[in-house]
Amino acid sequence: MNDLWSVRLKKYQQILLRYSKFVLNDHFVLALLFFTGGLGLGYSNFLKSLPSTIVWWSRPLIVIILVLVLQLGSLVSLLEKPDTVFLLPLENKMFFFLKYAFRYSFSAGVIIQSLCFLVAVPFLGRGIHLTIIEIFLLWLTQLLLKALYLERLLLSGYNDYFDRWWIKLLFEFIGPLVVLLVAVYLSGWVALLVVFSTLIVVHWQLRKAVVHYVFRWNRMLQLEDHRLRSLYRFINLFTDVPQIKGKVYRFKLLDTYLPQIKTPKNIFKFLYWRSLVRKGEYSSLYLRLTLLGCTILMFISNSILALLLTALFLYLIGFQLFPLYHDYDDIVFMHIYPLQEGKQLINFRQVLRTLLVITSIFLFGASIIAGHSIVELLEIAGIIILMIVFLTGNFLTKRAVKNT
Amino acid sequence: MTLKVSNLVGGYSQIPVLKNVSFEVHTGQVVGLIGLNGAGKSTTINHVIGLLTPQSGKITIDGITLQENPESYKSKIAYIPEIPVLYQELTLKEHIDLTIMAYNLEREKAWVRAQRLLKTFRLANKLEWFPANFSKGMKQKVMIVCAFLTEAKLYVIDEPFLGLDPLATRDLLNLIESERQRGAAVLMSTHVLSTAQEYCNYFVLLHQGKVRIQGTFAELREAYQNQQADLTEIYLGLTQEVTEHE
Repeated sequence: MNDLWSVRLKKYQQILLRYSKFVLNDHFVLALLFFTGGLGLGYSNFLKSLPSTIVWWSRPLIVIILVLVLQLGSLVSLLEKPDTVFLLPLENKMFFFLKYAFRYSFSAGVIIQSLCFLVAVPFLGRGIHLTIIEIFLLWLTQLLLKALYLERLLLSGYNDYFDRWWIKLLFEFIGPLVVLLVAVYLSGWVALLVVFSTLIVVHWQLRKAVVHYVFRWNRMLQLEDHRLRSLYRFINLFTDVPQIKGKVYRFKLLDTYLPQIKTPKNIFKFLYWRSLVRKGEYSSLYLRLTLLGCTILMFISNSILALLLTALFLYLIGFQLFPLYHDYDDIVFMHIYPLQEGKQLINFRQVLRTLLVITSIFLFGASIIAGHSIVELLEIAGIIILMIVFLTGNFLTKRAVKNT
Repeated sequence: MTLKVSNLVGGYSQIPVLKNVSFEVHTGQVVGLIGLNGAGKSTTINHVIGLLTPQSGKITIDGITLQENPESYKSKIAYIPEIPVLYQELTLKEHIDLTIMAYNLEREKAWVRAQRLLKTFRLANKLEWFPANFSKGMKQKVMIVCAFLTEAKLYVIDEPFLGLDPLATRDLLNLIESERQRGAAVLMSTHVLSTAQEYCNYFVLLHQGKVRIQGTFAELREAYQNQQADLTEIYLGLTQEVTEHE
């Protein structure tokens, strides 16, 4: 079982390593840098603006944030579908395999939780006046809550009782919420003690379940599949993941707004809009970047930085949408139907322009909220127009032709 | 309408799969492209529909090659692929709309025809569904509906019977027959030889990338020197002969 786990883990880490090259590409790192920079600046300004007394909302806020952070990271079991056939005879030994899985998942959890916690430390000190000891206790509590979160998943692999919605709610939201509230309002020691004793009880339950219940293959596979799917979906924003064939959603209400077919001239317009609305591959990227851009720009009062960021976001969005042009290359009918050449590019340009204009309106709105002067706003409008002309002009033609 | 394939040499790489393939398909003909797996049927079809470019030789429809006038060449063809190809994010209705738009068909008339075809293939109540989630057989039916909707001059059909239930197979054969009578031509690749024998009126036997023999069924029997033989016997006999000679 040890061997099996290490082989699986190695394979999994190789996949992650390979994809991380695509995820951490130049564009994204640049955007991330700006984002963390902007966020850091905002955070430090926010800390400075806090009064010396404790504000009423600071404790609930940190509790909610910690509960949300707790949701990061699931059980990495690395089970695969054929296991139900090939590992069936090893069923009573599966627990050893799962122990490795738990150890790995918990280590990953400790890292993620600690990093997030580290960010919260300045606020814990300045916002709600916790001492070093109290912060340390809160950190331990958070880690144990994560262990509890993972133990429940493991337990549900044996005992379906722990799969009920209210148990899930209790372990993942209500329980942590109560415990963390106790920690910040009453005493860190009490909270820690409560989580620790719960953990012991749950662990004892798990030991019992392993002996008394049959391993629920399907449930654990489903869990792993779900986890991998969300991981791949994230990676799919940056590069093609063969395992993922993006799910298609109809969004029937939007049907009336989609272009209807009139002439062969706008056949690609018809296709591109449907791909955007229903496939989510590009639209999720578009929506996220637009939202991110707006959120950041709202807090940027420096006009030079605002200009740069506006240009950067338009470039990022436009550039990341370019592959949509080739979305239909694999469909044999696009080569067999009697289509006029050149219409594809014209259609794509129209679609891209519309999308960029919509984003621009939002980015401009965010700049207005940020309180720039009229002249600065005019500058921003100028850079928006320049960027749209640039992205939908020759640059697009060259890019599109280059990749065909 | 005449499809003329002359001295076609071609394939996927520098090494040709097809060696000097020549045949013709005329109006009112159902031509069966017969051969074992890997004989070159699909390769020939990919050349005809323009997915592959000939290394030498020529393919014309009414005297025009694809290179000379792609739009006119392609507007005469409707194609049914061996493995159904569908748009993931389009409903069945939108697939039909797209076909109508691509071939610039008259909308009302085309939809009347579409409704009739949908009814025949029992898809009429699935217009709002995503065909990408259908079973293999039902996807194939969508391909058939979209192709026959166009009233093309030449139908190119690759292994049409795989995955179809007996009822749909019969309906497809009836459809091919009625289109033939309307004046369309059909080029159909298959290795379901018994069906081919019954429904095709001209045969092109491919073997190892070459045309082994071509002609009507009577002509094939003549060449095989056995008036009782069926297509399977003729095919196996002729191809084995070639293999033994080598």
